[in-house]
Amino acid sequence: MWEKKSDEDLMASYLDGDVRAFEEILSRHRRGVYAFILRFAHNRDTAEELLQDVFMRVVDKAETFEKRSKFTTWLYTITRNLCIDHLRKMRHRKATSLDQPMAAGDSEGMTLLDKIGSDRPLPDNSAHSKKLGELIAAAVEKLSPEQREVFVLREQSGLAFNEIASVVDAPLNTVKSRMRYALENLRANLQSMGVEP
Amino acid sequence: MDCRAAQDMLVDLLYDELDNATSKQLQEHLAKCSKCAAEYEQMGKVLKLVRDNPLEEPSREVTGRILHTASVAARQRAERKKSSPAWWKRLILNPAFAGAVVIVVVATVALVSVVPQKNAPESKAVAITPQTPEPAPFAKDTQVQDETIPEGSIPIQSENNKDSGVAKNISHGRKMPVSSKSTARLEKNLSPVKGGMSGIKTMDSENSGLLSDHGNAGLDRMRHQQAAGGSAQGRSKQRRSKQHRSKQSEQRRAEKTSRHLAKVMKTGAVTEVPGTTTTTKTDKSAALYPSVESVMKAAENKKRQAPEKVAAQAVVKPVSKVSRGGEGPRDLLQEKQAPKFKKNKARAIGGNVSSSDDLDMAPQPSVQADGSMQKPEVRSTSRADVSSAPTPFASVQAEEEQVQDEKRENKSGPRLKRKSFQSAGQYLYERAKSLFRSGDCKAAISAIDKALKANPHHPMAADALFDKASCLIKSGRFSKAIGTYKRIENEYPQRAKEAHRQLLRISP
Repeated sequence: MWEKKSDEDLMASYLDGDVRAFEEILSRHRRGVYAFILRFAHNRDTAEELLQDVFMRVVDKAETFEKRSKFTTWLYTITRNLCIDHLRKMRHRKATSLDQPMAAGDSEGMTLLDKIGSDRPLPDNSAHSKKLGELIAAAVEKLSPEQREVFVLREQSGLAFNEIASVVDAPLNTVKSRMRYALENLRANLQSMGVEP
Repeated sequence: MDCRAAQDMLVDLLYDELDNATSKQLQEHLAKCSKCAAEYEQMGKVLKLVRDNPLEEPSREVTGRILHTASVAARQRAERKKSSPAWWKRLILNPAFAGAVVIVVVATVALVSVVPQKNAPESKAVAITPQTPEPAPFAKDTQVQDETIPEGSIPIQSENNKDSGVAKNISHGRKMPVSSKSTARLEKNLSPVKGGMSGIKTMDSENSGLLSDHGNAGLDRMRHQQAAGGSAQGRSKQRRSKQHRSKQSEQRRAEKTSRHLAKVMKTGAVTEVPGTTTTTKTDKSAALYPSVESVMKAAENKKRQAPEKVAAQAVVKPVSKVSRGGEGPRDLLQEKQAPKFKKNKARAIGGNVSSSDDLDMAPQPSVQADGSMQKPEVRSTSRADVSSAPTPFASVQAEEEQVQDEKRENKSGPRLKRKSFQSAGQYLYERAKSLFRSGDCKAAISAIDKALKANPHHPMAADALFDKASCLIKSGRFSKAIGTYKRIENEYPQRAKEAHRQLLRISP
């Protein structure tokens, strides 16, 4: 029943008091939103916190959502704004968090806490010792923020280019060219990590 | 298609967002250009690699927390909806809306009360129409006249028709009852009225001059009301009561209009007032204002109703310089100006008139033997009593004496407004105190002595003596200060302890 409904209709149902409609929305978008956040937050815990914040804001602002506008555009605009706010806060803090990953080039996905707390030798940098997914994630993280967000929104969140253009507030052609450069750079990054696509 | 254009469209081709023609062109180019084809192939491989690796999922805990929050919010929203009043209740409870409603209501009431005065004929027409029976637009004029209008009234109506075209409208408005039964019933119901229908017609003839388009509007309204109305009997009762009401309202209107005319005359716009000039009954402007006769009549009524006011007016000399105006409003003008004249007269005889136009005397308190002031008895404040109203000479004299005293002493200390004090005694003490505060010890001692002499038992007397003692100490006259404190001890036992303490302080 819910699968056939559009996001906008589901939001209307949720506003009428049907929580199952919101559950459907969450199941549809949680992966995409989480993937997008993860490319900014670099940390799963922070990403989950931000994911919760995003959907809390959706709940809070549900009454302000206009049915005529696209839900995904609205949702990812909220997500992007929260991610930017988070990055700003982190920049102002300037203190190195133990939870934060170390420099991307040195040890992808590894936090300072992991490094300090472990007596074991540093993990091998070779591609064979790591899962392919982590490598891809590391390659994506190396992209410039503009290319990364377009790539993630298109490939992992499943937004159309025109929706991405609305979310990132950039012209459609710019979005497409960013995507093209993102794919080129991603291939280069993967190759530098020893992964041949 | 060149390589640059092809490379720009590679992403579109990957995501299948090109139209068929462009897609075909691009594929043709890729078939020819190995460089572009290789790039396209690499992009596809990267995408395949990314898509083959499943996305990371957030933990179930987070999902559960989000769902819990959403359900709580939904419940709260539902409760809010239930508890919150309906939109119209919220609107009513909104203070801004309530304020707006109040303003609109006040404005409407004001308009309703003002418009009928200006458009007097409209209400006149309403007053006239009750005599008109139920209209029947399909009836022929000749039939109507034959059936409904008694013979006696016909000449008058014809006169009306001669006098004004508006009257025609009235007769047209009376294309009434088709059946003779209803006419007979109507006549029967109206029989107690003197003259029956003819009497009513006479009244119509009186009022016809005041009818205008507004009157027609009123007629139409009444016709409509009558069409929806009940029996002829009920209607006749309504008409009688309306006649009575219309007479009353006419009187009121005439009074109001006379006042308005007087106001207009004052501003010099007399020539614009049709009531002051001879106007034909068909004149539209005449419809806006009552005739001269009605104004005069209203003035006479007013005179009859308030003979004492007229008596007061009799004292007033006629105003020599009257602004441009006709005969009618002049009396009203004099009546309006009379208070001013009386006011001047009251001033001339030594009285004090309040700043308003009201002639009520504001009696000043008179100074009594003990220095306190007593308000003179307030007498009747009717205008007739103005000329014989007692002048509060005593209070005026007391004030003058105080002013002269001040002048004589040529005090440089702070000046106080005498009228702000309840009595002269208090004024003297307050003045002494202010002098003491200003630091002028010599003047303060003098003022205190004067106040004590005038009213030694005043509640402020002991304080004044303390002030005097302080002044004496400041001046280095300790022996006199000691004497003052001793005086306080003796004469004011309630303050004796305080005085004793001060004595102990300054005693050697």
